[in-house]
Amino acid sequence: VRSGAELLRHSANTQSTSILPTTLEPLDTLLGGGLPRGRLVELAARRAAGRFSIVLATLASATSMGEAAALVDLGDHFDPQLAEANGIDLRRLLWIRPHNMKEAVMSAEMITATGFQLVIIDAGLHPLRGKRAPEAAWVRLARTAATCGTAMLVSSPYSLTGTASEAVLKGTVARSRWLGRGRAPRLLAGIDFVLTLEKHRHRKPGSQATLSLEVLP
Amino acid sequence: VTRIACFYVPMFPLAARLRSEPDLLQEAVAIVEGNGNSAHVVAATRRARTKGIRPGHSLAQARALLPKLIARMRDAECERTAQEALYDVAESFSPRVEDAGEGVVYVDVTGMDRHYRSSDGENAELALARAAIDAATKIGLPARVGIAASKLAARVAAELPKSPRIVEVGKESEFLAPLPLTRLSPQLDAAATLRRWGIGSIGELATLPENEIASRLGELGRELHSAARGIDPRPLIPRALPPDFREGMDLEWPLVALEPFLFIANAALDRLATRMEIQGFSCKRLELTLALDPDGFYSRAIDLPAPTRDVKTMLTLLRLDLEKTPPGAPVTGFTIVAHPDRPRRAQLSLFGPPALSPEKLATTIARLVSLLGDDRVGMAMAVDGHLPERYAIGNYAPPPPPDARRKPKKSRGLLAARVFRPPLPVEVITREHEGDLEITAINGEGDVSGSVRIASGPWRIESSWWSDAPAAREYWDIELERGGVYRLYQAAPSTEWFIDARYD
Repeated sequence: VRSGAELLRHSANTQSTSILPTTLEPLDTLLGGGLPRGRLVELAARRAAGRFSIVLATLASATSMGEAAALVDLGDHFDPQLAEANGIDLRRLLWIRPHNMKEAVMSAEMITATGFQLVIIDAGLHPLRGKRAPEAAWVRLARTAATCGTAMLVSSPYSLTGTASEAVLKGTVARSRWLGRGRAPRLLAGIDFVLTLEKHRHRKPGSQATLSLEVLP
Repeated sequence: VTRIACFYVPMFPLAARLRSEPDLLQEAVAIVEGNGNSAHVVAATRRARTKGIRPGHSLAQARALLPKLIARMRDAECERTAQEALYDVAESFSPRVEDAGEGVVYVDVTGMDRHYRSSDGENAELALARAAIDAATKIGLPARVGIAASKLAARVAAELPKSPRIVEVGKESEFLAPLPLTRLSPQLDAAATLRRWGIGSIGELATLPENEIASRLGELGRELHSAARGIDPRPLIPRALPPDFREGMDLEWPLVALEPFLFIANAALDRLATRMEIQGFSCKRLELTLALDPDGFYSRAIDLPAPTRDVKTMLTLLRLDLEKTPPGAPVTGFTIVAHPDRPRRAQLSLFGPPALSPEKLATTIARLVSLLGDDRVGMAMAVDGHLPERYAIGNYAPPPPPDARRKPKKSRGLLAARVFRPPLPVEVITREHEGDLEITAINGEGDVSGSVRIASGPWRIESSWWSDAPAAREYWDIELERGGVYRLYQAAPSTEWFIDARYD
């Protein structure tokens, strides 16, 4: 680097490659472009709040870029047909179905150390399978992600990662949208969710965004 | 000029045994052949030899000399696997290897010297021989190496105590001349006859006229005379590559618990991994055969999810398999066969996303399978059909990443459904309204309970009506008053209701 302009350009390039966009605009805006690589982001919502839709969209984004992604599916909720319709390249996705949280964290650490560019732990719905992992386990997982440059997303019904996470998002349901009124037959059209940035190490928390998702036609 | 290297393991039965039981290396150990009174020593460690124990002593004589002598029977399985290991080492130097058995292999090393040419002026063949000795030591076999233009001269050179020995081209007869006749063949009957004639060394035999020797000793005499002059017309006959790698041993006493067996199996797997590494292979399938007490065998086959040489992974899979299906009788011996496969290789990209190391990935997947089970890790596959819960899982082998970074495809913003496996049974309260069915409430476990705000349906799915397991379902989407949108179905002909997904 020979000049300040070059340094700025280099910094901007580094910035763009060190973020994995989820391609869901409201979420990317909240997180400053997407999931930071080498960091752990947590998405927590007790009620269904678009968590699984965000998981699938992020997987679709990473695999469409040709990156290797892994889903640690604690609740065993993944549907390959729906995933394919969402644009996930299933050939690049490693699907892991642990029996409890301890196995989920162990599996996530193993695959992160292998060099996967995106690792997602979906803890499923309340109640969680197995005991909660201690906070030290999440700190260790976050450090492994930092060492390997892996973007890590933890989707859970309540906050699990404590101080280990770079950012925490909370989701709530705004409203569901149905076609048809009164006595006419109804048809589910989509659901709107509200995402709130509860914590971020480099951004001011408290900002909100609405995420509108449509039912597969 | 053909150059042949002979890899020779002295006291092979002992060396094979010590390879399997390295703890005995510093002990006074004798390898014994035969039973009862006919049991005699065939080889002994240095510590036993210093006490006067020699091959040929009966076991009783040996015990009289050293009461604390550890006696081990000759183990055919140990010797066979040690021979294979020696062969593997030889094959890492040249593809043309002849297996002569009993700790001897011949290797065609013609032209190999240029790979071992050193800058300090050391003989290239000497450097090759030293590398061979180091490689054999790595797998637990104390080998000696001799290199010459013929198998005979190479074998004699390898058998000499000072190793390695290189016999220069055309100097075979000079090399052999000062050596005693027994070096040509230890079991030679003619040697005694020749000694009576006053011929003690190979060189003295070589100076005699060939015709005179042939007329007195026949064809054997002619061959012996040729050998004494360093002429060995026997060509090197290479052996085909073995389709698998084996390790095993007969146990001194039957094992009834899993842990002691795994302790021994760990060492065997370690040896297998080293041998496969020498040849650049990984293990794709493990076959375990246990010899049971009093008789019978027990066999298991374990397919590894991806080729690997990771001993810890293979041992864990072996443990899980034996815990799941124990042999049911004490174990008196075992053989582990590893089926080799080429490890996956990949060219890494300079500008695209970083590729996963195939070998690292294979090891990780094998570890995950050993931790979670073989149907819990892999590539999800979409399946043709109509029922939403269908899925298949296959081996994960991702294609190489693109050569350049790509932009992500824009999300379609689709609402996902969490599938419940198995579906949750619920009680559904319905009412008839103007001839239509209306769902008013559901009663299930946890959050899946309450009044229904909106219900949409039914959509009928009929599948596999031609098979033994037909499915006819009526699906509904419902939203509860307390929140949550679910997919609900009733499976005809029963009146039971299930929730099979939640929109999230």
